[in-house]
Amino acid sequence: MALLELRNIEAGYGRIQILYQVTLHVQAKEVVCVIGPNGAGKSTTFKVIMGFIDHLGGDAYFDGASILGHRPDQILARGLGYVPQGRIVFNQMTVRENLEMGGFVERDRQKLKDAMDYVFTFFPRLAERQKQLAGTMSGGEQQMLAMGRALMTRPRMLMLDEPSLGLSPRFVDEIFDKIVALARDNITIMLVEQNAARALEISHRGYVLELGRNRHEGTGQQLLADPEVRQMYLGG
Amino acid sequence: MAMAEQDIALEIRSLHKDFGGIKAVDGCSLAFPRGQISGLIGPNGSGKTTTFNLLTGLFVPDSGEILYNGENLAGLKPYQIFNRGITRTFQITRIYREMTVFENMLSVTPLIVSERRARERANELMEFVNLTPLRDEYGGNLSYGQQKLLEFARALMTDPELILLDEPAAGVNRTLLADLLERIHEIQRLGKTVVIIEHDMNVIMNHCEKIFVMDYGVKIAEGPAHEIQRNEQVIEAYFGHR
Amino acid sequence: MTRNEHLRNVAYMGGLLLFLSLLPFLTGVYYRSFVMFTMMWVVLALSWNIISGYTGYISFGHVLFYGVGSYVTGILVVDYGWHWLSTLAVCGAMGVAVSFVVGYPVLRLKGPYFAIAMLGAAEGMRVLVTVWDSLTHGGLGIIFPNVENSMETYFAMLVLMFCTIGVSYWVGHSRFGVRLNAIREDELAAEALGINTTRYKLAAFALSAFFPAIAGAIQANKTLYIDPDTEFFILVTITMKLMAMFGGKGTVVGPVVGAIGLYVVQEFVWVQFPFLHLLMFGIFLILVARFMPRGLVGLFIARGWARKGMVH
Repeated sequence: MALLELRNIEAGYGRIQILYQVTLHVQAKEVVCVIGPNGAGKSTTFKVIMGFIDHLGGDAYFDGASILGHRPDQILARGLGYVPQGRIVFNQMTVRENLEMGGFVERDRQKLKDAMDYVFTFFPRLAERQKQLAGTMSGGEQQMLAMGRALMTRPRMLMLDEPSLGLSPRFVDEIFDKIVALARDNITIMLVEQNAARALEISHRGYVLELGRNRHEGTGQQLLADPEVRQMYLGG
Repeated sequence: MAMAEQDIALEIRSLHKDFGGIKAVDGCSLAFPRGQISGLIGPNGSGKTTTFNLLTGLFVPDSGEILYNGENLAGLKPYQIFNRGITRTFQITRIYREMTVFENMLSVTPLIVSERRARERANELMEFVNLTPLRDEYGGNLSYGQQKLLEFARALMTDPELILLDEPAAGVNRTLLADLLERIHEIQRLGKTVVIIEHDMNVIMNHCEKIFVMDYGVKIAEGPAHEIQRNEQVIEAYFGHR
Repeated sequence: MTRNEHLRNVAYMGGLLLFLSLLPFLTGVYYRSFVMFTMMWVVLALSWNIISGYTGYISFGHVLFYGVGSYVTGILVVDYGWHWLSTLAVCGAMGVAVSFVVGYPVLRLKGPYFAIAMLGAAEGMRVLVTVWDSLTHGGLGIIFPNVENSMETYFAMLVLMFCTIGVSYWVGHSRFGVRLNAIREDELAAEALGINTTRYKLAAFALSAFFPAIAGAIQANKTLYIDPDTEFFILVTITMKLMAMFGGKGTVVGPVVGAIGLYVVQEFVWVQFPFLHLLMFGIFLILVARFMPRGLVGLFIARGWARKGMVH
């Protein structure tokens, strides 16, 4: 049984519908990416799952239970983690404080400490800069902080929305390496990416959305090799 | 290529703009042909919107030139650039919400121009985009599509030579988009130069005579639609680098 | 607005002018004074409206210009023996000069920062006037020679009010005013569409400073005593703001109606409750801001009793 499953999801913002009959699933321990040209509805997919916007139709399940109609903090409590687009970190707080905010729902101090140790093991750079103000870090470091913060709840599955956006090539490498490392540590990963090539390289499977609908799906390698997928980006 | 034959309306040479360490525009050079509709595309973060903002004076370039009618526009303020015949629209409409459609139009003409001429032009343009029935309605009460049309018409009040459109298709339904595109072609037929930034590939590939592609702050390709669609570098820019 | 509508308005104003010119001969000193001060508040509310209603730069220190006017006339009349009427032009000019000096740096600031900076400017001037006593007589204030001038000051204020109405009317129905509104609506877009916003803001600011300066000067010559605390009293700014807002800022009729209405209420109602006066004022301000932010004129427009927009 899939860990995450979306069936015929319809969703949008107010009067504007973005997603039409979107269907996908993610098995435990898989890395799955969702790619597609601008306006495809990739980020909107995450927002529906997390409960930031209402769904207009369809079903969504995580670990067998329905997740539609719940608040984002309730979704987090189920074991889903989310790294939003744009590396939103709290600029006026330190790295450590940002991480503490990530673990806000956790009452047990020991678990919180363990979680922070875990994050620091994964991201030694963050450990070094614990007291640094998040706003003064580079884009790549902020992205790692955003990821670390999402990991504070020790999620079973992590959703990352455009992790490489706006990062220089060097940091893109580093971020993708970290994602692969997290996957190896048995965290299920779902990835929305603009940089389709990189995302497909590290994914077991991928879904291609266009204008809010499923267009292609297949293994990472299959989609990488498919010329139709590439050309779709340029309206060809 | 055919540069010598082609009359250039506006040329950018080696434009640079740095934002706290991020090189948004990193030595960009473009030349928009006069009287044509050109497209400026590129993935997110490629620097195309920053280029627009540099062109219209919202930002001041760190170095480089913006050549228009023999003058370097770099460093001029937005209203000065406007007065030289370059106008723009915005990705998310910036119409004046608590002013009527008519006032939105009238506000653009400099005070030097006579009242009668200003009104004539406003009436003409409202007619052009079919907004005359809404003339005395507040801009904020218009539908989003109507606001887009208003912003487009408003930008044409002073009969500019060069019109820069920032994602005109964003948030607009198909029918209205067709309407807008028809108007864009009409003004081009009148001899105007149009440059469009867009993500919607249908608009770009089917309506632009020449397309310029940016990535990482520089131009990586230029040419007609069929060439751009086959260009490996462009495909990689959008699809992703390995 | 059509030609006929303009002519009709001019006719109304003519009628009002006639009425107000005859009034002082028909009533006693108290009512003459009351009407004079009502007219003064009309001038102040209309002036505040020119900068704050149209460009949206809400001034919290407009009393600055009023006080400057009072003090210029005070110094010239009492220390240099000028006739008060001749000082009026100088007071107006000084008001404009101060508006350029203060406006140039302060109009670059946005919203709340501009408001606070203007407040600071007015307070700063109050302190300066208090401290520079060799010029201004400081905290002691300036006592004017006792003359009977209630008729003359009344007519001076009458002329000033009609000038202010005239200029406000022009701003409120011209493309100049439309461009000021554009600055309020979206300064970035206005600038991108050819409006030299700095120049327009300074022009509106200067206009909005000229009339209060003269009003302050006339007032000083009527009350015959000025001191820094009364001439730069923050409540003056808040009152003119409330009047313009209550009536409808960004319109011509609004500040006039608001000034008359509020001054009448203040003089006949609130003054009965000396301790609650300020409290009621404050409550009224909150109610207006919350429930009728567009003022009376806004209510009329919402009901369809008045047209949208100022130029048609």
